[in-house]
Amino acid sequence: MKKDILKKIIKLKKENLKLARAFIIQAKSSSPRNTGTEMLITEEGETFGSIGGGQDEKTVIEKALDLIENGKSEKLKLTLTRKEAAEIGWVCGGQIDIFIQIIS
Amino acid sequence: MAEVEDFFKKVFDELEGNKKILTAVLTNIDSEEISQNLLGEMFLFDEDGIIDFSSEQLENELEQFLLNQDFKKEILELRENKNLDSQLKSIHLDQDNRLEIFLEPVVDQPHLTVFGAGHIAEPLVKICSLLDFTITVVDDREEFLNYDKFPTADQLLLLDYEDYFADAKIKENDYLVIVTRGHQHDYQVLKNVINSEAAYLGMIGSSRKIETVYNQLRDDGIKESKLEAVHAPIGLDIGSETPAEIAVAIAAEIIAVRRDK
Repeated sequence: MKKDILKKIIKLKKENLKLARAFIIQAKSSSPRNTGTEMLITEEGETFGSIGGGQDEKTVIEKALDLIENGKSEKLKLTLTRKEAAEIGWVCGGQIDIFIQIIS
Repeated sequence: MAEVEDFFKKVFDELEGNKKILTAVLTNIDSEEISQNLLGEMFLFDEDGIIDFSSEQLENELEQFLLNQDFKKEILELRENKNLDSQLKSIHLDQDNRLEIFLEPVVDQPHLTVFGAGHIAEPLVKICSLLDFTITVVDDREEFLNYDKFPTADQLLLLDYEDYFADAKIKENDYLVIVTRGHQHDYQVLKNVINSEAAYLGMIGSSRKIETVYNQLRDDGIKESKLEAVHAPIGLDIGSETPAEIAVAIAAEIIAVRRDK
């Protein structure tokens, strides 16, 4: 967790916003550097940070908004095609596991 | 809920003390005795053990296992993993209970401060923004300091160098590059930072200029060991000639320091 994300969480919680932190917990067929990449999503749909952009990030944001409503954290598995992976700068396709942590 | 907020504040406070701390998020629960609703809860620990839990329920439910030697040992092994990146770990609470946790060091992103917004600073800021640094450029010349020149900088400070140091606090994840327009300014900046905890301190210049600045600092009573720690001439020796090439050499040196090479 990066300090600036931590600061942001504290600030958003002061404003009484429900939020989710999404982070990559496992990435097969890609550089391990990507593990730990994180972003915040508030109940209002505002985001901070990025886990790579593109369609997958949109999927994660939508899922996070659902989970914020339910108040439940969940693991999400995404499969990237070679093309999708290339778009976010990964060498090849593969599966990434993202954990969506609800901070309510 | 105040509980979670307090937990994150606690993490923040521990970080301020410059300690190495780790958080663990429960990402999977394979257990009859640990409630599924604890998924996503966290605990915080350092080398002495667990400091805090994100909820009382988590603390209560883990309590019985904390007495278990194997679990204690696993936690200790986790923190012994020096310089670790984030990683997913499976831990055995006992024979029937397993947790998957995502282990993360809490890190303060490295920060690069470039003194002097001249022709070296421009490519250097571009390169270092690719290396996950947050970046500040300081100069007292307005015409050099703008976001057209430094589109990836986080902060541009138009200040006299002395004024900058009036309230700047340099920490151990700070990387400082001194590339001002003249040796008098370089001297002024170096004098202010030479006793700091900065991870990296580099100054540009010919051997002659460096010696002039060092002599001034010796006159000020700066210790020889401090002067030796300054990276000057700055940058790895790769035969750089152009500003961009020099910037690459500086960036490479910064990477080497950051990665303990």
